[in-house]
Amino acid sequence: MSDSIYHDRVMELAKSATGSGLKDPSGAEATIDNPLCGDRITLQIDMEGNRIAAVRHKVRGCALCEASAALIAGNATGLDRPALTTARQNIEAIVRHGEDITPVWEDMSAFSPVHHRKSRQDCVLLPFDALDAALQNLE
Amino acid sequence: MTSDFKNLRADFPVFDQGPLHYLDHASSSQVPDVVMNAVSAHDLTSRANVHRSVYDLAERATAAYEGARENLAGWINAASDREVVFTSGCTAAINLVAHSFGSLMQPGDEVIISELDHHANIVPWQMLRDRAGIVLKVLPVDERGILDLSRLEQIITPRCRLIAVTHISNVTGAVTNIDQVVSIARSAGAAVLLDGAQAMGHGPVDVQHLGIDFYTGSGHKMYGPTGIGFLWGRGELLEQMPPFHGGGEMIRRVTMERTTYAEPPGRFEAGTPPVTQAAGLNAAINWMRRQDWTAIGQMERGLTERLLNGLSGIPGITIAGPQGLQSRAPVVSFSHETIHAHDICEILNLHHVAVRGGHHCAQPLLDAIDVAALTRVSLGAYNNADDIDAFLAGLADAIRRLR
Repeated sequence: MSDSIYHDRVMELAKSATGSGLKDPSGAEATIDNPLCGDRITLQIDMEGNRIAAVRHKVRGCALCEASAALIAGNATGLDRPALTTARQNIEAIVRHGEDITPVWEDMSAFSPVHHRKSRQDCVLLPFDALDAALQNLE
Repeated sequence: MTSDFKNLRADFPVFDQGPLHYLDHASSSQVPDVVMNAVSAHDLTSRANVHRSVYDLAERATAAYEGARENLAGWINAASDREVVFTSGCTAAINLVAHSFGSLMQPGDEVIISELDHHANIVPWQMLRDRAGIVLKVLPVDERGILDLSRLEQIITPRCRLIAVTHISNVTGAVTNIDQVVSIARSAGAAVLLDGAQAMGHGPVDVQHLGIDFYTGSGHKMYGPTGIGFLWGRGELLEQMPPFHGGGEMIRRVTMERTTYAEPPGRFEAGTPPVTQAAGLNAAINWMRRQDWTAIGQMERGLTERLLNGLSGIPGITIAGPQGLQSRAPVVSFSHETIHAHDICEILNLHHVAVRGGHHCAQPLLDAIDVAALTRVSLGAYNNADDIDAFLAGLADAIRRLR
């Protein structure tokens, strides 16, 4: 069913608002817009050495975007860039390509129905784009 | 009321394929079967390039293309079919004016646009500003998203060359007070361009009665095919304007040293035009000519009232722009205090209700009223009370699931 993009776990993540709320100063920050629908996320990261110490965000977007931001905030802490790259590759494999994989973050699988709704895939990937941009802004 | 329009709905084959409550007329209207039949018939019997060859097939193609122009000119009450330029759509028509009429402006000349407008009537003018050094002024909306025309007199100066505003908002459905815009423009010697994309799908428009200088429309929003639209311009203005695109069709004489240009409208129609789409648009206009637009307008207002009444009873809903029926087309956009428009649209889709969510190519308007996205319900001649009721039931389900 197409409404399964609102999988229970996705809605739980969205409502958890894990990592919601910005704080200054931050290690780095990025704001990304989805030109299709106007959704916007601002994502902050703090670093300890080469690993993520904290992720915070402010989402002005849909439930999928909120859930994806919460997914990152709840799982990225302690990870270095190679691990984050793997996470990014996993979510793209699931959402963009519909691959049946065992992802590094278990909750990523909850987004698998989004593969069948092409217009909504960017909603899930927008927070990952913001994470990439924030990491670039560290440099 | 509904029964009166059963036959009209039957003109649209899209509704034969199963349950569909199509409430996205403002994005693209559905097409009557006569339009698609005309498109098909043209290419099966009269497909050839226009204005070039003398064989019978080409004569028929040219007659179809120029016949569509003549029909459209009559439908909008243009003084002459030479004032109607076919384009690929409304966006292309506005870009044509921004480039061509814009090239007649001097640095420091002013163009006034509005926060209510579609990106298609904002971005081309920003590009002109950046290219030519004109001054771009913005007519604001208030906190409800309603155009504040009282500000127009304050910001207009004798340097204003053009006011470019929407006829009907694609987001709020608000109908612009054109008389007021034209009166203020004339006092400063400025021309007026109306983006008519949303008006053309709701019955006849009289460009001479409006008293404006440019009018634009899109075929796919007036029961016609995609890939065709039009610019209407006053003949004396089109005569003064240089070409936009260069190529075949738009010339009088080409040498390796220089080129002279055709008279309008050919001057503005470089390359092979959308001949097949023109045949479809011609059929769409003929279909529109057969309808009772007074009755359809009453029907659309009745449905809009039903929709507004239904929304008014739902906690957390805020309607953007005008709250009532006065000076509004059958377009209603709203936000919910906690649920995003795309999530609402996704659940409505499960109820076979097609509505659009997002920024509707009007990000400055959404910024002005401080919302991220709106759910838009827009009606056409084929809608009925069942569509509104299905929408309201679907919305209630969406709120129940997503709250």
